[in-house]
Amino acid sequence: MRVYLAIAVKSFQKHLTYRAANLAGIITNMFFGAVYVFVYVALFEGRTTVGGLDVRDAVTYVVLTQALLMAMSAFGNRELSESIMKGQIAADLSRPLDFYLYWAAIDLGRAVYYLIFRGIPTFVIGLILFRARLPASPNAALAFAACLATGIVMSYAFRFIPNSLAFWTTDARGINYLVNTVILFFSGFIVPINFFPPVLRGLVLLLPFSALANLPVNVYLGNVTGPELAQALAVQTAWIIALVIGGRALLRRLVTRLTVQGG
Amino acid sequence: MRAMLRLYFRLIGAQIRSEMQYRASLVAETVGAFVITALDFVAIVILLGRFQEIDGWTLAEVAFLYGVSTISFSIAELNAGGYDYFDRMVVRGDFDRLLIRPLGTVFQMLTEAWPLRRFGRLAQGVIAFGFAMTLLRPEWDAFHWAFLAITICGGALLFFAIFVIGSAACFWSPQTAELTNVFSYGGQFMTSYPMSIYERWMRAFFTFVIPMAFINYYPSLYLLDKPDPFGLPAWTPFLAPFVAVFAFLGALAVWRFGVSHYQSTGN
Repeated sequence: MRVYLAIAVKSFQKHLTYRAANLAGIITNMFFGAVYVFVYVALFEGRTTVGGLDVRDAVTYVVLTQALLMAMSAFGNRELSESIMKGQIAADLSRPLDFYLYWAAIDLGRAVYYLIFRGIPTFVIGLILFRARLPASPNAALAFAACLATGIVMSYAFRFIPNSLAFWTTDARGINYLVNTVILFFSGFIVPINFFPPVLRGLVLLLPFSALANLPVNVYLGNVTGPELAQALAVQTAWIIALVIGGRALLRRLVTRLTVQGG
Repeated sequence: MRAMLRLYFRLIGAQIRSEMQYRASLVAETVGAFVITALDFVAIVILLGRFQEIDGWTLAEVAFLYGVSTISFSIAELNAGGYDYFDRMVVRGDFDRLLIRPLGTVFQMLTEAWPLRRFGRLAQGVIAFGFAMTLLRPEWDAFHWAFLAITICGGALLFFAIFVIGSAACFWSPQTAELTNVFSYGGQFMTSYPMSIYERWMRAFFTFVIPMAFINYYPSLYLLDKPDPFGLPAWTPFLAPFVAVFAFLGALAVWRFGVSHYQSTGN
């Protein structure tokens, strides 16, 4: 286990070096956040609540999702499929490590980096500029943290599957691109799931993506508590278990039929 | 001039043939680009479906803004394909290759790539625009249609100028590539909604620094016969082509200045 921790720390440190890029990223998040905030403020004109959110909830939703985009890898993460495409995988597989956990550790280091260095600044700036809300209660804050952890694990467990398709098609970019957008949409990063038509909303909540944005944000706002929270977490945890089992089964199959590119 | 045009079409033709080599990938990426941008539009449909209107604009009117902006953007994106990886070109010293050829660098950048997958976004913009027109049924004469065409071309020219300036910034600092997204993708996203919803600083920025308002919002006010909440002169919408050409010439000047400052990475 110590090995995996060390790998996670190394991955975290690797990201520390891209300071200018992170700063540019914060500015980008703030800009898109500002546009969304203006859109919601204008939409809510003359209304009090829609889909259980008032205008300040919607603003908080925007600030939190902009802060979480990178930690949750909402735009996808090509490290794994690129390592396969470049043939780096041969070296990775020959290490005396569990391949699945090895990449999980790398991903964890990345997620923690983005949570701290992208998430916190974006959140604090959003809090000040757009007067976002603080967590509904100390309990909501704790449950929010638990949901974030669930989301980070879910993000990895899910992405592992389309990413490893790079084993079969030498160009997995197209597939990944498509998958990422679907995730972005159904996790509630583009439009809060609260605003979806009721039938669609019910379906989306059963999918594995709610944990990335919709669930943590609604927990933070105090909209999902008690039994409802337990149920949502149960659905998401069941998905994680299924995705980990599926991902590992896929991995076993691929390793037996691996073709490494390049010399 | 004719020789240049012949050469242009010849090089673009070569790019298209090279794209066709990976047909399955091309189809997947084009469909992908279509679905991805379609979700942007679905987001607008969900929001406006739920809230009915935004600052007096209905779903159909917002779809119009969005469609025009998306069509302009995708035309620019298609022709600016070469600028996509410009930061990497500079980092790897690949730009040297262009400098030793007996043709202008802008001409070469235009023919460096022609990513057909961008037709996915274009198709999506056309559908959104068609959706808006079916609902709105505006009474247009030939002048309106001609003005629409000019507006779309002007928008494409402005987005193209943004790509060029963003790339030129890479001559000084290749790490700034992501910031360009604020102006290009961010500009496209922002112009999908009426300018009147934004706070003053953002409006001022996208009117005077990056004149996005002139190539989308004001022409749309005229085309949809909506009142101007800012009370600018009645000829403001018709500034679109001039603003676009001006921005484009400015971008070329910045580009030339950047090229003259280019220091190769060396070997």
